[in-house]
Amino acid sequence: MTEETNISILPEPEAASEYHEKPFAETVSSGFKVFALFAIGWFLIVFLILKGLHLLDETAGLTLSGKIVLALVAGTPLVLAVLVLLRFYWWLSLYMAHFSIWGRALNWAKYFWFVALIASTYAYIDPLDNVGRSIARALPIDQLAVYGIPPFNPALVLFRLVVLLLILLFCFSYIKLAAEIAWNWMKEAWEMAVSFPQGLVISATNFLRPNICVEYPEYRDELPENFRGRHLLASDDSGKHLCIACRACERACPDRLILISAVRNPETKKLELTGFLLDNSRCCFCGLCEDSCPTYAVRHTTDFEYSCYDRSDLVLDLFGEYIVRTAEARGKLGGANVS
Amino acid sequence: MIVSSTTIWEALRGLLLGWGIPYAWAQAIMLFVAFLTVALFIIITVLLLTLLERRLIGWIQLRPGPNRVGGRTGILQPIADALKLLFKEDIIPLNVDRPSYLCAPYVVFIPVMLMFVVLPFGISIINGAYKYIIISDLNIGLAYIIALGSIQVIGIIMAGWGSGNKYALFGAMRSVAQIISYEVPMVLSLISVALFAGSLSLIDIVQAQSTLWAFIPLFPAFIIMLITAIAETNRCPFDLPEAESEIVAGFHIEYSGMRFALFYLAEYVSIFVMSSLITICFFGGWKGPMFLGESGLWFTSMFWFMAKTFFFVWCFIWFRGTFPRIRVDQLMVFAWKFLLPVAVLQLIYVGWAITYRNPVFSAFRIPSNSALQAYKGELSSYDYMTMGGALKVLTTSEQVAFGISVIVAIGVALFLAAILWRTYLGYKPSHVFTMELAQKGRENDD
Repeated sequence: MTEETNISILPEPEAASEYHEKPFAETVSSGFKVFALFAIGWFLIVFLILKGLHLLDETAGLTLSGKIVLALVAGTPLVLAVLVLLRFYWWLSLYMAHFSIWGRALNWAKYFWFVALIASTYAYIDPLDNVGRSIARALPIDQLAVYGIPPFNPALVLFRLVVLLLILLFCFSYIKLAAEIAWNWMKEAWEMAVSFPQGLVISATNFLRPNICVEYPEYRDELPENFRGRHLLASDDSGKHLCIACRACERACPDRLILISAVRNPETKKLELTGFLLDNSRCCFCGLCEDSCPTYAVRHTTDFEYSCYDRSDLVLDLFGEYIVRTAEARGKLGGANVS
Repeated sequence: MIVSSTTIWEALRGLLLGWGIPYAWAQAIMLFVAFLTVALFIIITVLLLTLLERRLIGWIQLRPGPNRVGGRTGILQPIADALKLLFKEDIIPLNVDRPSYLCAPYVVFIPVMLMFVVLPFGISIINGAYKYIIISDLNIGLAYIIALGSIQVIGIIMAGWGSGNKYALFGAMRSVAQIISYEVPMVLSLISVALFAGSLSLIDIVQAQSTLWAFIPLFPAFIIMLITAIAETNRCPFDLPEAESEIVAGFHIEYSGMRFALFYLAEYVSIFVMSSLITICFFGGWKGPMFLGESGLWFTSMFWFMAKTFFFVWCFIWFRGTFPRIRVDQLMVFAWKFLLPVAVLQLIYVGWAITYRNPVFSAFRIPSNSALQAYKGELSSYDYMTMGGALKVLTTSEQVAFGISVIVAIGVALFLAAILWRTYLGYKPSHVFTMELAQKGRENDD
């Protein structure tokens, strides 16, 4: 029982991603080639440095046994150092082969041109003349001295050409990438540089345009018909209001501002309005009361100038206002329509 | 012709001494007159600038601006504002750090006022001798102005710390970061001006632009100076220290009454000072066609100086009406990764051009043959070479360098012309622009 539950609790072994499932050599197939190349290159570099620093000059006079002793005595620490470096820094070769996994971004490519520039410049100029001297010594070529032209080392020129070619060959894709990034950056910079004077021209031409400002108390625009201002209880020509006290607006109002009171007329069995209050101070002027009214009795007027000193003054008594407003019209008709 | 001349203040001193007034008293009277002149000038300028800014910003935003006080022009609006500020209660909150809170407005305002000491307003002729209209021609004028500009930072951080308010402190810290960052490219661009002129004295800098205004050879430095001047005065689009929408009013949030007015004054006066510094360093100061002859030299020279300065004041307001406020990280990146390299490149270019005696950069500093005679004592004064004359005496390598500089100048001019061309064609994103160009090309092919 317990074992079973334990087993069921254990998470199922996830389907490992392809990357983790495959052996190392398959995912990064060129890794070991690069490793080997790196090792050879490392030995070459060390050899060239030793050669350049004239540390191998004295070996020419030694016998074969002397050379072997020298290699064992002097070379062993060097070989050990190289081995240690390879042992602990082998991953550098992988990164050299796959720059793009470095930092999981191509940020390095932005600056690669700089590194390439520095490295190639150093190799090209060869300020300590290590490479040039070594090559000149290794190859049986004498320096040509033509009259009027400074000494010319064909081996060095050959080396420089090879360096340039190698940089182009090995780094072509990286240089291309860096150039693309630089090009995009330059395009962005150009876009920015162009947009500044364009914006300035737009604002400068605004100096010459007429004002669109309506200076309110003196001048005022005509408001559109559907402007949502203060509310009104509408009435027909005879002065009778249109409200049937269905309370649709009360229900529609999102802020619950409307309070309607009505009594049922025992003769006609119809609801007669007795009060219509609306708290305008919290109204959001959405117009839903107007929309929901079946008889179009509640309306927004275009009146918006009704500021007052007390919030309670904003509670509109629409029914009372209607009574006062239509008193004259209803009076002409004998005051019979007062409900 | 390089004339030896003095300032009008030395002429005034001569006048006072001629009346038999003792030297010390004459000095005191001159100090008083100088202070009074600067104070009056500052007040009138700031009153004008506040109205100007509000009206111009209004026009940019298609509204009239202040138009109620003093008729439709709103001419009395600044006076009404000043009266309001004068009669407002000067509130000192309970928990402020009193010494720094009380000192800060003065630490901000007094350096700005002191900058007027070295600003050359023009040149006049008194008793047949040229007199510069300036209080004192310091031979380190440029360094003096930069140093005073840095003192303002201390006042701002005093205000921010002393107010005991987090928004004020935020504003002050932003301001310090911003001003210190933007001082570096500004100083580098001003150093290239000093290299161009061969002097730190503002009068010498103006005189060096007799033949060619410095903004032509030093165009990138001029642009950098324009941008950094806006940042130094904490104005839009670099108004982070006073960003209303983020930190209510920045370092002067707790100030009211006259103390607030001092900050306000300092801001507007520093706009004027920075504009005049741009005018002096890049647009030839008071130089211009002197249409009134020698008798009206004082007026025409000051007219040109003020006209150029107020053009740049207008530019400040124009930029405020155009550009939105930038983010803090954008601010720092812009200063350190764009302005600084450009300023350094400009400096290297100027140094290279002067080393190779490029006539555009240093014609006025190559003495003509008469300098040798003057050195021998055969002539009482000497002149510098004209640009064409300087071109003839160059060695071969200098001529090659001049050719290279001409090519560089053509490249920069083409770049700027392309920007202006795009501006003339109206606003379009680049990809739309290139698409339309291709479309046109296709139509032409058909």
